[in-house]
Amino acid sequence: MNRRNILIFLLCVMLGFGIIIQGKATHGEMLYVSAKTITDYKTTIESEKIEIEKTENLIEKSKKELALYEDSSTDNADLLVSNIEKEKNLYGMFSGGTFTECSAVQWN
Amino acid sequence: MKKNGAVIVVGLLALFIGLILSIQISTNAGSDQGGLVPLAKLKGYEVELNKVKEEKAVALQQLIDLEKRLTDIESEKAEEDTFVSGMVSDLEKYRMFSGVVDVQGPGVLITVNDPVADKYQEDYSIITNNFDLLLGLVNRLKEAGAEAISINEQRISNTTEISLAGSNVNINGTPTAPPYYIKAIGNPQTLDGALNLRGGMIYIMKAKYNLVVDTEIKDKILIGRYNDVINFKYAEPIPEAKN
Repeated sequence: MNRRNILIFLLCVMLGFGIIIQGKATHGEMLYVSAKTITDYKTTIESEKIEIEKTENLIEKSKKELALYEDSSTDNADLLVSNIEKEKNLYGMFSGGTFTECSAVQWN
Repeated sequence: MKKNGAVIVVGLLALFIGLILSIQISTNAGSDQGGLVPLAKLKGYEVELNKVKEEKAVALQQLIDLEKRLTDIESEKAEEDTFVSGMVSDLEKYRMFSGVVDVQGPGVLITVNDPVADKYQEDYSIITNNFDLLLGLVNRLKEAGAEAISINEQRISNTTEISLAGSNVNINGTPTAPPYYIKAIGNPQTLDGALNLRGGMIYIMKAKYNLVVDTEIKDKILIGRYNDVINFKYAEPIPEAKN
């Protein structure tokens, strides 16, 4: 008699547990969406996050340059000219507008 | 009676485990693999996307403000000194050619999208898996005299790669997804004519790959800057005397 009561009690507990899980797992309105749509959403979000990171790197670089330009304790005229020269070389190399050299592999 | 009771208990237990498993499977299936997805989850993606877009806009504005202050200082110095003026002028030219400034002008906007597929094909992206078509388009645009090109707001620079990375096409190290919006600044008629030749790139994309390609001539098109820090680890400029 006791064992039977225990079994009934356990069953009731499990059924109650199951009903609660079912209730919690309800997500409201459902919509049919392809896996590609979800991947595209994730890709776009990821892409925007990478863009933010890149922009923050550029902000850091600009802040350093600005601090250099605005530093009143040093001769900022020379610093400014040398920085413009450095930037000119950098963008000249990036655009392919200046000669560059480095160790490299050459195929003939 | 005792035996029957045990059978009923085992049966109910099996039912309970089955219920739990089915809930677990349906929850997983509706998350990342498509199918029936809760509307709330989709809205969550939209909210997250809008949030990161706003964050990006704030960061970009901060960058624009800082760069304006730098340019103002450089211009002030250039007005005082003709030597610096020449350097600043060269710097602007190289910046423009490097693609690190926003540019605008007449050009074309090309939209490339996957064909409208049935439900068995909708998870496969033809353009992503044939990303070399994008490379071909860029090459054809350069050949036709395009002065600036971008794909999904990624500026094409000297170091830009267009490569397949998993299920995305990476451009400038940033994952992109279809539809692809290709912007090009140049002579609009020349660019459009070069692309829409019979047997040309767009003809092949439509006829062979069944892609949805649309070309629009624009009087004014804005192409954003290359958005990354440029560093050279190996290459060094050669002093002019050695050139």
